[in-house]
Amino acid sequence: MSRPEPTVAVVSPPTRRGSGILRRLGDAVVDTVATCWTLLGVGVAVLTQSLQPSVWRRTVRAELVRHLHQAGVSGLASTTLLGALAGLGLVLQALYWLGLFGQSDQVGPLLATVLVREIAPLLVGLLVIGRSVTVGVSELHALRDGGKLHTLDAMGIDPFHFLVVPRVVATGIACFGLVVAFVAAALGAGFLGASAAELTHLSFGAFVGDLLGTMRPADFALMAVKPLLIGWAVSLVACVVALGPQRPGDGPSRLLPRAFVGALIATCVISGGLSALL
Amino acid sequence: MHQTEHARVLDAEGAHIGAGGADAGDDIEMSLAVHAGEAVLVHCAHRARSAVLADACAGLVPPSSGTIRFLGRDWAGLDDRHTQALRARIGRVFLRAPWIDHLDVATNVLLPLLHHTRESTATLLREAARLGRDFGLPGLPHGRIADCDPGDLQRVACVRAFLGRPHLVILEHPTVGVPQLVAPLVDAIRAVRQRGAAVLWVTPSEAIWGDPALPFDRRLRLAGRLLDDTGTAP
Repeated sequence: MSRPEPTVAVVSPPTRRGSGILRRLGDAVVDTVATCWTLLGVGVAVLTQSLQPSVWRRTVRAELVRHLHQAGVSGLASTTLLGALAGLGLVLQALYWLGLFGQSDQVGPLLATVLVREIAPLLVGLLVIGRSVTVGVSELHALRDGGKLHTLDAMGIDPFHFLVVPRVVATGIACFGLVVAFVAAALGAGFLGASAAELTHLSFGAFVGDLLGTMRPADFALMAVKPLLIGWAVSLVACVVALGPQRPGDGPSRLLPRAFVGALIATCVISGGLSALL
Repeated sequence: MHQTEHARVLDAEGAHIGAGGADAGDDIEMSLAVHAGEAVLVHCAHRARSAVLADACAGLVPPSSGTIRFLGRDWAGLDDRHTQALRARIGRVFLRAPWIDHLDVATNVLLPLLHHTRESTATLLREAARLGRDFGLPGLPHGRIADCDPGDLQRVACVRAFLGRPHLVILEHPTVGVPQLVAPLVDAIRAVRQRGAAVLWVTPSEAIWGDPALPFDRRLRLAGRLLDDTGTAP
């Protein structure tokens, strides 16, 4: 069967332009779907591998500790400071305005909703993106570019176990720890500010007790699950961008913005999605 | 005489290895058997082909035809877990990308053994320091890779290759930049051969290949595409 000859209309400029836009749009959609699919696949692989004790050899455990330190301990001071600043503003505003309208009993639910459920995981996620994603992409890209993955392989060390699993798990744990620190600093600073401004006469224990009393089990679950997933996803994005398929000419200057935007989108999607679900 | 002296450690039969480049002339045809306690010297002037040869021996480059066996097992038939366990028995001086930059020197040296064995870190450090002194270092260097002298790093690379009890030691251009390493390498090779390990030394140096004082059982040349046991001793 002979193929029909292409007509002039097929290659006319307007049609070519239109098909070019459609092609680019299609490519973008396919790229996005493929990236999401890859992220999901690698995320599941990290989860299943991290549950196998044989993966956690002492070299992998040492990497876990290094990443916990890098993502968690090193970021503790800035997280605490950010939490204190956010708490100072939020708690003071809540106490002042709700007190003004005679709804001081709504301070607890408001703080639980705004601070614990939304602001803390989101801001900590942003901090972790700034601190860990950039470092992670640079480090992993240098290892890949320098042929070091091959060297690890030659030593019988699975690069996925050694480089990806501890990094992703550690960032998830670190993110959770930082959210706890953020909330604690926010409540502490908010309470001190409110006491100084004579907006509350409660003790610190009663102040925190009021907040905890208004939190539902779903709020506690969200406080744990959201940062864990955000940290997990943020690190996963860094690993996939740095170690996944790359286009010609890709270097840190292209990969870093790509990873930053990807991690930001992942953080917002997880944060919004979990808030809607729980 | 050692009991395992006659066992084949590395066995390549008609293995055709693609070098990955566009030029098929870079490919390697390899037929080679290295027995326990044996030391084989291969002359190969090209860095890339030396690395491909070493990679093929370590099961990192699968042959398009033929087989490469290590300790009697065909690399092609092994799953990841067994492949990694077998590679743990190979000590190697890497020509390309030898160091993991974010780890310090000592961790780089101990990395394969820390990963694959349960030997205490202190014991491994002591053994590495002893080997370091054998290779002309005051001990095992500490600090970052970037801060280490290139000559010292080459010595440290030799320490890593001989550390533990490897069944096969692959040395890719180990004396490049540090010709003084020949004597300690020969001593180290004698020591590992006595306990039944095999050694495959790949060198670009005609002087080393032609030195009759060096204790090699066979001397081969990677001439053209062919590496087999027809090389002649000088």
